Amino acid sequence: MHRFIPRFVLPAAGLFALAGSTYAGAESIAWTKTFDSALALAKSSNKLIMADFYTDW
Amino acid sequence: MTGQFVPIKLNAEKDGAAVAKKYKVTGFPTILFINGAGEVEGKIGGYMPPEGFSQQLTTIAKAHREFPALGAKMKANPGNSAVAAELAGIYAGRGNIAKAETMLEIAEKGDPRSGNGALARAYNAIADYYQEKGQFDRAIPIFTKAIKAGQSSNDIAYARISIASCCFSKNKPKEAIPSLEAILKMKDAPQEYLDQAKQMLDAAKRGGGQ
Repeated sequence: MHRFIPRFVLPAAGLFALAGSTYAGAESIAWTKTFDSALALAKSSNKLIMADFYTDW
Repeated sequence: MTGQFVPIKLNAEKDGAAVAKKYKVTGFPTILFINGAGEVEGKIGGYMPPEGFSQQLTTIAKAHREFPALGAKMKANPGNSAVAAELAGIYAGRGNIAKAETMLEIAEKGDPRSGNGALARAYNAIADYYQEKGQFDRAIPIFTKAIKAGQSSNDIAYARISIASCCFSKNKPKEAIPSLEAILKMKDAPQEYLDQAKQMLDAAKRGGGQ
């Protein structure tokens, strides 16, 4: 389910960081370095990759 | 929560460009949930309030966990409307709208109360799909069905705020007013939706888009 209530709320990217700090506690998120290694890890652990696509602009 | 996922940041202009292109990601920020086979199982695009965001994470992780068992149940009993409703929601979240609609047809044949609100969530997920595609006039009647089938205040408030959101997107904010007022009248609507509804109602009454 997706919510699109533009301009009433914060950007998802910021919230992603927020969610990370909330749910991972004091630990920082262990970002995977490359997409291929993320795929391999997702396969072996039967988890989903959470791929945060961003741009600098 | 994030322990349930393999997190990666991809700069769509730099090292992540090829992956962004492969998955046709054109709007930013976008978060895709991709399984080990490289298939997309969920997407969070654009802007979302914190509670909705964590709810999304829970829904997507749960769908990933339960999908194999649900598929097996459906195979064993193809007429199981409650399972069909769950699957309809999952397929819609994955963008597989044809399968979602097929499952919805089966789900609608059953007792709407039997699936613990799964039918309403399926309607919401399918309507979300159309909303995201910009097909607001298609999304709104499906959200309306979700309100009727809804068993939890969360699902009902979600459908109402979504209808309002569609009206804003259509540049017809005044049409959002009844849905927003309905949320404010709900005794048990989640605070997040109440806050959003208040803000949107003010904007709608001013007549401006935002």
